[in-house]
Amino acid sequence: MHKFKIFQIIFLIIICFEFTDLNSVNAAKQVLSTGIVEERVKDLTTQIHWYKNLKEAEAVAKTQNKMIFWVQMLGDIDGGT
Amino acid sequence: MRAVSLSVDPAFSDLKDNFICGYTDIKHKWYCGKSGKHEVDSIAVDTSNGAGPHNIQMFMLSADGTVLSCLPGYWRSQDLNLELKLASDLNKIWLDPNLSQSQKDKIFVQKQLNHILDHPMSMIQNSRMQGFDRNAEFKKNYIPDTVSNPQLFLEQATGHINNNFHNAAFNNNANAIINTDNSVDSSSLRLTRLNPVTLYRQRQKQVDPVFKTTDEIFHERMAANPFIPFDQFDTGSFVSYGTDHYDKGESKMGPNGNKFTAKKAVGGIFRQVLNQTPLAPAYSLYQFGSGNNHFVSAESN
Repeated sequence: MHKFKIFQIIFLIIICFEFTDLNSVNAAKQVLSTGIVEERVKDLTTQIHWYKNLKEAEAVAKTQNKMIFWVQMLGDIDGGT
Repeated sequence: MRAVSLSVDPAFSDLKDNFICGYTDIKHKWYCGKSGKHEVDSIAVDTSNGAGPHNIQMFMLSADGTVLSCLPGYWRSQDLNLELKLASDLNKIWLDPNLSQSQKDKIFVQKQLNHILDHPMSMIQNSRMQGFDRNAEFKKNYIPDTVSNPQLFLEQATGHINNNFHNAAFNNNANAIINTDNSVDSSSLRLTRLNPVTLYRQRQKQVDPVFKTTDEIFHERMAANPFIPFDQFDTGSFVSYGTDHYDKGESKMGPNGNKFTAKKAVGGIFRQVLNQTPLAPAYSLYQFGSGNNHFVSAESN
């Protein structure tokens, strides 16, 4: 009986940890399923060429008279982030 | 960001038509934050504008590498598109041979600050700093530039202390700038700028009475950096707000975002315990070249 109560307390602590996660978004508005994510990432990385070298991007931008959209990110645009 | 915003119109079409795109992995940069793992075959969740500023920054550059604008963190496609348009306007100014450098800088500052007023209410509402980022700002031992109402900030900060939300070090510092009769030491208020954008403030106050929304924060910080070469842009200071750990918790969700398993929950708990979230470095180092004194620096805590 005593062990059961300890188990109950531990379980409650675990539940409290989970639902007081301050670093999780508390009001997510839109969730995309895995299939849609894959499809959109594919569109993003095939319909747009993503340069990895800024100097190279600058040279192309000058010849095409365009601006540069340069993303600094944790991870890869076509892989894990 | 890539699945929920970048690959969605109107931003996607604008990027395809008008920009040369590129990216770099910043995991070794000192200002890079932490995040949960997101694979291409995992789910994606949208979030609020400006969330996760340490993990992603989107620069709009002129062809010679001059910084026209920079968006820290996640931004909705329609809001990103408004900023792409502003960058296009600023690029025309930058390339105009009939304007002097000082004229260009002045226009840059005006356009950045005035653009805040053009933001639709939906953008302001979606730019509210999230709870964990607000808490990180409350912990700072000075009034950061992210605060719109210093008096309310101090009141709520001390309220947090009374509730043991924050550490003793902040308690001491907060006491140092609040007098015994609960009035605020005016010297502490010199750390904040006076905001002339009254109309915007009235709208913004409905969203967050204490802190500026992230759309205002980044435009103000951009206004302090007119036409800076990319390699001289102080990204670390620019993204300094909130925590450096951002995780939307997708790893705990199933394929449709609504599943929850005990196994994943336990894994999540250990990850959270092992990954404490230190404060972001203090925002500082801003130098206004055009004599504008909207901004002040703040010492690192």
